[in-house]
Amino acid sequence: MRIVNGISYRTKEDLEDSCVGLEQYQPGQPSVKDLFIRVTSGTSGTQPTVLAVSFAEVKKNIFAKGRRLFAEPLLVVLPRNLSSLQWVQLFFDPAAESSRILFLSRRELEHPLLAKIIDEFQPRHVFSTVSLFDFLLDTLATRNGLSGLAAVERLFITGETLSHTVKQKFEALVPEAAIEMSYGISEVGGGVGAYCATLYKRHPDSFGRAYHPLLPLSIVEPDENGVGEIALTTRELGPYLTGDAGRLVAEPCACGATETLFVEGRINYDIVHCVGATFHAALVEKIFASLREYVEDYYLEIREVQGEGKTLGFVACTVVPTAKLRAMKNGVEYVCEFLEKNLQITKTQSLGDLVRVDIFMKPFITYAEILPKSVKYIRMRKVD
Amino acid sequence: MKVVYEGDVPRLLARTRKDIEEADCGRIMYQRPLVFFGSAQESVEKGLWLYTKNILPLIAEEHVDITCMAAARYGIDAILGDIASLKKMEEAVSRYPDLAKVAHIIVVGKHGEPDLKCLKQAFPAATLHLILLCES
Repeated sequence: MRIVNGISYRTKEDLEDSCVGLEQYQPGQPSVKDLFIRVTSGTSGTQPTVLAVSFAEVKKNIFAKGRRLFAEPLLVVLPRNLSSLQWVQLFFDPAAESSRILFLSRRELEHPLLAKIIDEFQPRHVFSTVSLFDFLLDTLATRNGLSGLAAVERLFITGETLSHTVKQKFEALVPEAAIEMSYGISEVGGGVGAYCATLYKRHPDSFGRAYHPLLPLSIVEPDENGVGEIALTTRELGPYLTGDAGRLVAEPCACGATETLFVEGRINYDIVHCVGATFHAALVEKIFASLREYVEDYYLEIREVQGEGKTLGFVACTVVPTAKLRAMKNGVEYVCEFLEKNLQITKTQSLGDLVRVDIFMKPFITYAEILPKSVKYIRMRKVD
Repeated sequence: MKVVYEGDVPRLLARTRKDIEEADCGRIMYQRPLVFFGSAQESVEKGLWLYTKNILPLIAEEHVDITCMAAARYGIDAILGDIASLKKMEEAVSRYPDLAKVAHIIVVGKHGEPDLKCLKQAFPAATLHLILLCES
């Protein structure tokens, strides 16, 4: 719990190892149809939280606008089976009007006949995450199977920030599709910020950053530019600090919304997403703590780079070596191997595992006498 | 639409809301089921079936430990799945002792009568139910 201006906010740490929101579950009642289970947390470094999340408010918001959120056929490609169930159940609702839905699990995504499945389905709308859709495109492109996506008009992307490199790739490989992004956090089902085409006409440089709030939001402890931590309130969580930095501006939009949320990334970059993997600052710190004899200080830059036919993750690591590391003949290789072996970046895989399967490039380690002042308090950062 | 496999060849099968609702997955004697099939397509479809009965399902993820952690937090009282997946749970249950308390295990299968003895050992408190489905 963190108390700010007399309000007690829950944080992600408060939710660890618990089950939240289950009191609203009434087995056998129709209200169950609007409830979903979500399991949060990115890596083995944190304990998962199970949340029973109500979608009733979100559905009301979506369908009250009198528009269909998705047209059929809708292809759903999400990393969690639970998320797929949530969205399939939501759009299987008669009110959603979209009922021709196909979701792909890992088995289909890794199947040699993936292109055949998509070709047969011919989706018009796709709902996916940045990293998974990127993986899908890479797989289809290498098998000459992009024709199945030729009819896609709308690509609805969530999960992480869309880098410029990846956006350009999506636009090139699915040229007819309008790309829409939403802002969400795993603790809330159904999104926190909504896409609005009018908004991007007004703020053309803010694609993937500017949204209309879907929930009651506020900015906690804003700085002189109005940027502070995004706080929200839901039935399950109460007042909750997201760990994301943002700015909330009151401005009327042609769509009827009255506020715009500008998302500025993670507070202190405590979490960085890259090609489907998640770097937790706490876990990175733990790794370097066990290298203390060799490394005095460190700074990680994480980025997506365009490899041959696919997007790869890349970690550049600057270290201030101790005398002991300097004296080692193969000091750079030692740090590199240690990182690869010990840095867990998915629930089950280390950085080295992802290097071996060509999802990440080998980390690049350089020595420095001292780190620049600008990185004094931030030990890792995502760069475009 | 659902992806089904003939051997290892995928094909699309149309399933309507009515098809799913009318499927027979046994009488519901539980409130917090885990749905765990080798095919995620099957898990999602059975999850949708439970929604039609106003029961909130937890469905399995690819990684069995994540599934078990979530199942323990949710406090599952039943597991609905195929025998191969249930055997994976059986191996993991020693690491998640709360799961041994589940009251119902519903084994959904397509061929013959599977060997359920091992499940009885891993889940001593559970009543086992077997549902044989026709090939779709």
